Amino acid sequence: MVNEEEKKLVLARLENMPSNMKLSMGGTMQLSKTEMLEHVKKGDEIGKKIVKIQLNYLRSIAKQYS
Amino acid sequence: MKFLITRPDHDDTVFYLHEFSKELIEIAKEKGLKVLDCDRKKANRKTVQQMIQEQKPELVMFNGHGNLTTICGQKNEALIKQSENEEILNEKIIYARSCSTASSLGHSSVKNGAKAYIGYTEDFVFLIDNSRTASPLKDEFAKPFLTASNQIIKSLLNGRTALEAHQRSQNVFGEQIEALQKSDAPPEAQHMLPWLFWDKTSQTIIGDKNAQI
Repeated sequence: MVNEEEKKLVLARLENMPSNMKLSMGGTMQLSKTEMLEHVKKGDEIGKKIVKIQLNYLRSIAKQYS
Repeated sequence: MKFLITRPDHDDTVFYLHEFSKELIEIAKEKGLKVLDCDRKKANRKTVQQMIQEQKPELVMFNGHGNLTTICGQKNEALIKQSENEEILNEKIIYARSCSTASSLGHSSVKNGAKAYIGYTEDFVFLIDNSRTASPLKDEFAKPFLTASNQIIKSLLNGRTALEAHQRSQNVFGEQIEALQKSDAPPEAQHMLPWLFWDKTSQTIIGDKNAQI
């Protein structure tokens, strides 16, 4: 379950991505920065996966410094 | 000793895997292995199955799209499908650079006789620089992902065990992450880290950890 604060955090991170960066993820899917932002905003399955991956990393960093 | 590799190239994602696999083929040849290169159209089910059954390669690497139960080839044709033909992987060390197959197909392959199966339990992800899609080897966004994932085969070709190959690849992922975390890393580095960390944590090994070619 993703809460609104987490979603906002991920959206802010994605907003800062370079526009020439795209993501190859799952099957034949390739996502531009704009598409990633749309999925996260919609909260669909792809958006949830993007949030999960971002939070997974941020939590690992937090653990390192705790 | 034989090494079979599949290299579809029908979209940008698999084209990147295709290009980054070239160095593995060169290393295998230098080591004196016979390379069975299922390149482009040859990455079809009939050819791959026939080559595996007749040539009996000790080491097999799949590059391609996939899911829990299937590894795909050119134009996403199912090459290996759980409960259909995974028994052809019997007695082999397998590395699948493909999404999610280590969650189910990997276990089933090992149950059906594969020595060891290294793959990813989740989506294998990587970043691409839009301006570099014609020359993947010059793409600095993709390089850390594909360098770290290539390490599995490099280590196996160097006589390492399946577990050592997995650990060395994990180390390379770790080194790439550390380099991108440094204060002098380029600004885009922070956007690469979550995806790289994801691949590192979803890479896994199933079967005989001491298996080697």
